Amino acid sequence: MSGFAELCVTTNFSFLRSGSHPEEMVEQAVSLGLAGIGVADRNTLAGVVRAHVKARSLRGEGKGDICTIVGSRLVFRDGTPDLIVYPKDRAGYANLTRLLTIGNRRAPKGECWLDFGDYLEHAKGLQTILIPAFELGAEPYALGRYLQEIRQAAGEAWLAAPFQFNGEDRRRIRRLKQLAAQTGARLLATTEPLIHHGDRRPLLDVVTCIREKTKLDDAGALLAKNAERQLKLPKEIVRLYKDAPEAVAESLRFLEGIGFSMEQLRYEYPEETAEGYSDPQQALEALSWEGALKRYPEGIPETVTAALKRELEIVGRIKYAPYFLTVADIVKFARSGLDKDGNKVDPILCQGRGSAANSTICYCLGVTSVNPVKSELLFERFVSEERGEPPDIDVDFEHERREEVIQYIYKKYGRDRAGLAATLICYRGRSAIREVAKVFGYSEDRISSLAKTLHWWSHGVEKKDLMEQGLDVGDDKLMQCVALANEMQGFPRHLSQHVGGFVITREKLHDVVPVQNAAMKDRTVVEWNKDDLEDLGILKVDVLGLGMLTCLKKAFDLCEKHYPGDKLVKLDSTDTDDERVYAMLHRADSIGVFQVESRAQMSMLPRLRPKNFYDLVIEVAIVRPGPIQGGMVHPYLKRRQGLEKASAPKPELWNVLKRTLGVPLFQEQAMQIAIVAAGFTPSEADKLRRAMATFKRVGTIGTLKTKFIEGMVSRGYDKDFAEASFAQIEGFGEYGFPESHAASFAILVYVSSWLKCYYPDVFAAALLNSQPMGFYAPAQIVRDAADHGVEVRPIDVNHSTWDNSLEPGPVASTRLHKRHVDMTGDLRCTHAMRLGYRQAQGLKEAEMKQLVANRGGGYDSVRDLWLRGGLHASTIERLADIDAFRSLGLDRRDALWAARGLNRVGGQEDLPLFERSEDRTREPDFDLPPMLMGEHIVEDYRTVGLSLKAHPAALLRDELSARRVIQAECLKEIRNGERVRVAGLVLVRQRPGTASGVIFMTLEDETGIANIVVWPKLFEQYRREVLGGRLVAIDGPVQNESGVIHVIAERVHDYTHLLAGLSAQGEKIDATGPTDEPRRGTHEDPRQRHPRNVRINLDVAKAANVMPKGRNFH
Amino acid sequence: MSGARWLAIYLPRLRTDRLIRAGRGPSDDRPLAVYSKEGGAFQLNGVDARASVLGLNLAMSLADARAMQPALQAVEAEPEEDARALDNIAAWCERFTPIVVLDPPEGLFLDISGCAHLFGGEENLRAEIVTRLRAQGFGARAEIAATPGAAWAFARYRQKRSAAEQSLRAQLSASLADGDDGLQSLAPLPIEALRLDADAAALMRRLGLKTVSQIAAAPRSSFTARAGERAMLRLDQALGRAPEVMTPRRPAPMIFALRRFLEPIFTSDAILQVAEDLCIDAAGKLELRGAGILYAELVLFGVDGRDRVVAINASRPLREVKPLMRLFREKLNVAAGNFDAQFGFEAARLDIVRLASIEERARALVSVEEAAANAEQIGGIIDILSSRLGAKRVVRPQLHEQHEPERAAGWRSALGKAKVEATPVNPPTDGVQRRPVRLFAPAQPIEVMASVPDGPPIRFRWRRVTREVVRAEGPERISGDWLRREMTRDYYRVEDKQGRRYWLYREGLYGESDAVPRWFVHGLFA
Repeated sequence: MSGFAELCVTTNFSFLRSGSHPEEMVEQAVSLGLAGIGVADRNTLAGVVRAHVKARSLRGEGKGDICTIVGSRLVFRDGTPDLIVYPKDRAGYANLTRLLTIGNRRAPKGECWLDFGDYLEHAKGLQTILIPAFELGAEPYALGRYLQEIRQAAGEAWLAAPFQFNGEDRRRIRRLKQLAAQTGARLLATTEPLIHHGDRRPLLDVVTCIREKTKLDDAGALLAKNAERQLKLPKEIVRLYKDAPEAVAESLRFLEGIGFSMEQLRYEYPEETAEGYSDPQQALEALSWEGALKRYPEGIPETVTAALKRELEIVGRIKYAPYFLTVADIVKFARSGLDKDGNKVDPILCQGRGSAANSTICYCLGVTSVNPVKSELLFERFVSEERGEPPDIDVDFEHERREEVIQYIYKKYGRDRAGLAATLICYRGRSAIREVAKVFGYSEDRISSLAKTLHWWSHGVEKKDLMEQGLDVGDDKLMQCVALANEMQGFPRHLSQHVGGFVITREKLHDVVPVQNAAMKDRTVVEWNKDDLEDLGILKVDVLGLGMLTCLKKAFDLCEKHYPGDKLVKLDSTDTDDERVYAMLHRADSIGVFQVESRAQMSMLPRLRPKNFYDLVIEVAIVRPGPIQGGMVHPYLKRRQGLEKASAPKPELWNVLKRTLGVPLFQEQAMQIAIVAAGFTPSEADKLRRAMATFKRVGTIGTLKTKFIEGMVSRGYDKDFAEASFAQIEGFGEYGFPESHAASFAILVYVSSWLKCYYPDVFAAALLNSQPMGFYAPAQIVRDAADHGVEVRPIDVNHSTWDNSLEPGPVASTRLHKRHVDMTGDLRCTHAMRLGYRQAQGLKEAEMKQLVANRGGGYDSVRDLWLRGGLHASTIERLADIDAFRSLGLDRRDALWAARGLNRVGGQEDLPLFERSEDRTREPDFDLPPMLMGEHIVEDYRTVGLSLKAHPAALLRDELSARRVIQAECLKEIRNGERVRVAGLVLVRQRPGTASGVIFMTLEDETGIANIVVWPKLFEQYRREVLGGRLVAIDGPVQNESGVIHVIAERVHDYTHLLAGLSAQGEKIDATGPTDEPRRGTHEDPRQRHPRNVRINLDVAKAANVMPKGRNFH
Repeated sequence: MSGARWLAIYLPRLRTDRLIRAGRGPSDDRPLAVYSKEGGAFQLNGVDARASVLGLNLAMSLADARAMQPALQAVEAEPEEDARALDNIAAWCERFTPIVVLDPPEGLFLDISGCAHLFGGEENLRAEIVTRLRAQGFGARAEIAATPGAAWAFARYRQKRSAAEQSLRAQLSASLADGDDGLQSLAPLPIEALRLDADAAALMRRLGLKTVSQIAAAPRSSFTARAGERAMLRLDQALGRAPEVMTPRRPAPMIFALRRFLEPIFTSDAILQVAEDLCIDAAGKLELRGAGILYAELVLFGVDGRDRVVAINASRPLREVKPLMRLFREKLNVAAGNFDAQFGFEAARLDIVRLASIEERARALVSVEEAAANAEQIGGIIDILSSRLGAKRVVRPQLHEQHEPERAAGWRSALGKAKVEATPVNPPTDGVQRRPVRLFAPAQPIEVMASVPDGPPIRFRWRRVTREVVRAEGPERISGDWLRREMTRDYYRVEDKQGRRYWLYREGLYGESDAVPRWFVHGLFA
């Protein structure tokens, strides 16, 4: 072998110290013709998997073979010069991971504290390169001592002789050569690359500035002096080292000593789960059949038996049984109703999601709730012998109780065998442009307009966005800034912990991968993320938290408490065909229901009209960027409504697409198209999917796209269909659903719909008690419950608990809003909902629980509450603010007066002593001004975020009517196309990336909701009103399409200033009707107001700020 | 009532007015706003008239404002600048009364007791102030009352008077001293008019107390038990029932000396004489404190009502009359031409604004004393040169940490300290000098023979003489600023046959661009 291997490469996984990705380094090394490359980042192995995988795939594609060795650059805290170490063998590797783990664990998150002594203890099996740090003129004695100690500990030592282009390289290398000769170390040529190509010097300077928190103009000598720390051609290296050719040859000899490769990290699964059986496979078979019997008490159907047999056989062949057992064990624990120490607790609701739902084994083990045989899901999607990757089982748990599951895993496997996967936080979009612009010294203001050029869907800053923000695209400096920000997209920033991806090993974890501290106490994280673990074939289980599971669990508990004996639909219920539930969904009555509550879903429901469970699966999958970007929604709807015949573009696709009427909707269908229609191999298709998921990181999907489209066209497909299919795969990349996943979610849709349909009281209380989750604010959930006949009662010191609770109340079916009369026969609820303290801002759970515990027969005065309740006076004031003293006959203002009057200096105990002397009861009378209804409502919104007294629009109705505003509920009686004016509080603004700039607004008045469509052009004109308004009016034609009503905005008016008048509104609410004219003209344009009214303006802002700002979604 | 009269000035748009005046406002008709960071979010804290017409207000975040008005020009707040602007306005106001009280962030109080008549009565004084401030670009409101509190409240919360009422008041102003600012006029104002902090005001509103009248009517003891003393105190102060301590902007300087003249003085000789007298007066006081002058102002009060100020700056504390007078002489030589004495000056005052203690050195060792004397001498020279030529023109060299040789050193003002002190460069441990002490500027082009791509020169021709290189080291590669698209240079230290050493560089790398690299000599080693 001849040539040169670069062994001191630093990649951008040495965070903010390098300008190139590991993949780029490997690729460049190949194209320069290097014999080998060694990747060594600062005290980490985080980037090496990327390098390894890149080299493997280049080899696989026949694009060049390069010897890639992985190691780490050890940076010490005790003044030792940097050492670069590469493991010679598996044992050496374990030494390295242990060494790094020690450094990580003793340091705070993100740091690694190493001393030379630590290295010496773990030096066995490591080939070590010392990076000399000395100045010419100083005697490098110290280096000689280090080299000798390294030789003693590791057997051999290498001394790097970096060529630095600092003017005195030759003298320096000569000195190092002498030193090597004296100490028996071997001299090694290197340029210590920080960048793969000289063009990255600007980016290197930028990341340096980010790291040092300085600006380019101030960084001075911190910046790179030149671009020479790059990978170089072997012949260039030979030329540079003409005085020391042996240093170049040594790089190849170094490689020969390395017998370790990442391929050797053969993973072995934990053994615990096979207890009582001779091996894991037997255990799995026994448990699966046992589970099947439970699932099918009347006998296991033929198809299930066949599927189970086949799956067990495959699993046996590829030895994945321990993995299934591990997951089953976790699920079993969650359902057991015991905590990790064996104490009795509530069982935790859980359900598998993702491709695991393709597996009959998972169904029988109780991991998933979808019957794959019934839904014709394919096991091969889940486990593939070909891919040789472990299956991916994700399990959702109640989000409030996920921690218990995590603690169980730690307890069972021990902290040295279980750890969380890392998540690599990268510079993306706005963070990249912000950081780069800061380094360029731009003002905050300029930075935010730059950041504004990026939307979540864009992959980089584009010229037209810059022009839109009024930025000068002819400005050279600005354009360099933008170009660098684009280049920095996807650069790793730091490691964080994955939300719930657990790695469990048979051996000690720190022999496989370095372990670090997490931000959270008592958590440890491994250095690799999901993809890395998957690439190496290491087992991981996703333990995820899902708000809806918490909500369902709370709902089931409430049902059992208040409706004992009623038969409930649960996650494992097989009956999913209740037509009343579907009838409710047809009306888009889905606030709070899992997944289908969004605006887009709501407008889809009446069109799709789901009739059975599979329709729900489709409903969940169809309103996703994948099908929307692929333009699949309308074709599917047409076929479903029978307006178009169901057919596939070519018969060969019919099998793939027949379940969705010939239109691809699921992720696997898109993959199948790649295979069947574009001629991809299954592994290529899988690569395509992965490339999509990570295209922001690597950015080379162009070739795959060409191949895909050409493949389809050459097989006789329409080019448009090919493009659409590809667009769909792009959409799926990050936001697509596989069918099995949609099916798992559809179960939650059904169960939550069922609860909402029959027990709206229970459902609303459970939803509120599980916040934050979902699409709607508590105000809408409460409102929806009230519309469904549930009496909602205010927070009260004598009735409320921390959670929202149920009290005996009126029969809901008699109080239904006329919109929902259809449900009269369905409702089973007979309770009123009492709002809990959790709904109010600024109350502490512990304090409120104490209040409830001390309540006894009730509090009879503010003073009584203060004396017995054990609360701070400030908390009592807070309770007064939220108007919680009504049961004492006090409104918030009287209660506040009373609360402020409590002895605020002494404690409760010493009160009786002073009662006599400081006779506060004989204070002079002072009548506080009575509070008007409008003021109360403003205060209700301010403190609780909603008001049960009245809707603000109801109080303003006269003013609104005078402005010819109609009520939202009247919309359905309006002819299609007729122009109206509606107004309401802005609940939601949504600008989906898939709707080319259209804004969907949801307005709420006292009668209901109005859905508004704002076209982009109009939005530009009314930007201020649309984004800034809290009470907004819309003029425009009504569009009624199969019961889905929209108002298409033609003009937008900001009525927010009317809210200021709210505090002055009051008696009007119950008065027979106002006689006075609106005080000002009907068309008061806020622009016409005189500037000196700024102060008045501020008052408007104060009242308006209390009202919901509207939630913004993309 | 004590007969005190207070005028409160309110500058609602101080922040934006200041920017517009400084030419930093929008050049077109875009709205302007000022923002500052509050708890992680950018919040507006100033809007100009146009922005407020367009609906922007101080309760908004910058993001909201921008969403509504994408064309908005937003400038980050500069609180110190705003404070300085307010202070400047206050200084300007001192021409109306010596007692001006700062009321940051956007207000002033003027104690005009007994001086309104000088300006044609209260209403005319008020109108003059407002008009003249407007003329200078500051939107202002001003009101007069018997207490600072009441004036403050009226300036901010009283409806604007009609023109007719104004002229009527102007006619009556001499006799209009009260009846105007008792409870009756305060009562309808909102409670914020009582100068309450945000929390206190919010509490009042929660209790339903929105106007001053409601608070005035509240039973005192039970009210203060709940709302604290503050609101009642403010009310009492506004009504003149409770005293309020006002601290004038310009407290008497810690040390000052004042001379009044029977006859106005005109000539610079006379002024110098006065300055010297004042210095002597001050020196005695300084000595008691063991201090010297760092910054002092000689205020000359003109008969025309204008003040002229001559300020001196010293780089070390001075007390001796001689060096002080040297500074004054320099300054007056420059300044005398600029301020025309018109009707002359009727008084002069020396305000010692900044002082520092002088370390008394007694019985020091001779060598140290000499060194100190030396430093003092240099300091003295710098002071004189700086005051004669201007501080920016007297500079001393400074190192910069930059790779590019031309930018590795620069100059800074000799007065005061460097902003960032560069790490001192240690002499190289091997005694080899890496760079010449002086550089040719610009570098001188040479013709060179060298091996490609980056071999050192073999011979080169400079100043028409060919020089054979016998020793060379390099290259030191310096790639220049990529932002300015500078070219890479390779530097070599070379020695010719005669033993002369040069610092040469080649600009441009072979293969980097099409241009043929050029060679230069950048400096010589001694």
